[in-house]
Amino acid sequence: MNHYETIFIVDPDTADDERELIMNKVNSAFSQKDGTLLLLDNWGVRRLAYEIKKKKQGRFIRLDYCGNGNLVDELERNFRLDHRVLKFMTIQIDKDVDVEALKVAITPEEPEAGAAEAAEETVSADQPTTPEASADTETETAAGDIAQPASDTEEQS
Amino acid sequence: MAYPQKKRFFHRRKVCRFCADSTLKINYKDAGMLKYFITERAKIIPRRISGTCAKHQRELAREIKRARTIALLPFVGTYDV
Repeated sequence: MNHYETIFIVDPDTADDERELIMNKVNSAFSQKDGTLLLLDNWGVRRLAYEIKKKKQGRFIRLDYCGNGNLVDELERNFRLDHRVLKFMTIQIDKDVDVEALKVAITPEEPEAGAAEAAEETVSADQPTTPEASADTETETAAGDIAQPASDTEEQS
Repeated sequence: MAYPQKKRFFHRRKVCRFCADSTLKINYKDAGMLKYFITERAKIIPRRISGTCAKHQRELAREIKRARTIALLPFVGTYDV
C-alpha cells in the first residue's frame, strides 16, 4: 500500500447533488479497489491561477489515502471521464506504508476531519455546507477585490 | 562601456531560508509561500538571486511545478499578480 494525495478541481457551477455523484464515484472506487481514505479535505471555491475550460474559479477537493496503483488508475479514469472535473493531480507521498499507523497519526491531529466527512455525506439531504461554501467564495472574491485596486495604484505610481 | 572602470561589488551574505528555519516546509499546497520565490512573470527565481541552497532549490522547483499543475500558481504571470 502506498500513501497518495489527490487534488481535483470541480466546476464551481455544479450543484451540490451533482457533486455528490462525483463523491459517490470516488467512494465506490475506494471500496472496489480496496483503498483507505484517510482524509477528505474540501478547500471550497478558490480562484484558479489560470483559466481552465473558461472557468476562473474552482472547487478544490483533496483526498489523502492509502491504496495501490490500480486505485489511482480507477480514480483518475473517473475524473477524466467526468466533464465537471476540471483538473486533477495525484502525488505519491510515501511507498509501502502502514495504514493503521497513518490513521492514528492523522486522527488526533485533526479531530474534526471525521466530522467533516460525515457532513459531506449528508450534503444532499439538508445542504448544511451551502452557506459555508458561499461564504468561502465571498471571502475569496473580496480578497481579489482588495488585491486588484492595490496593484492598479502601483501601476499608476 | 557605460560602466565605470571599477565595478563595485556588494557582497551581502545570502542565507538559504529553509536551512535557517527548519520548521519551514516546502509544500505545493502553500502557494502563498511559494509566491515569494517566483517573479511577477511567474518564473522561478534562480538561486543565485534568492540565495536558496541547491538541495532546497530542487525541492522548491519541484513544488512550484506541482502548484502550477493544479492551478495554484500560474505558468505565465501578468504584471498584476
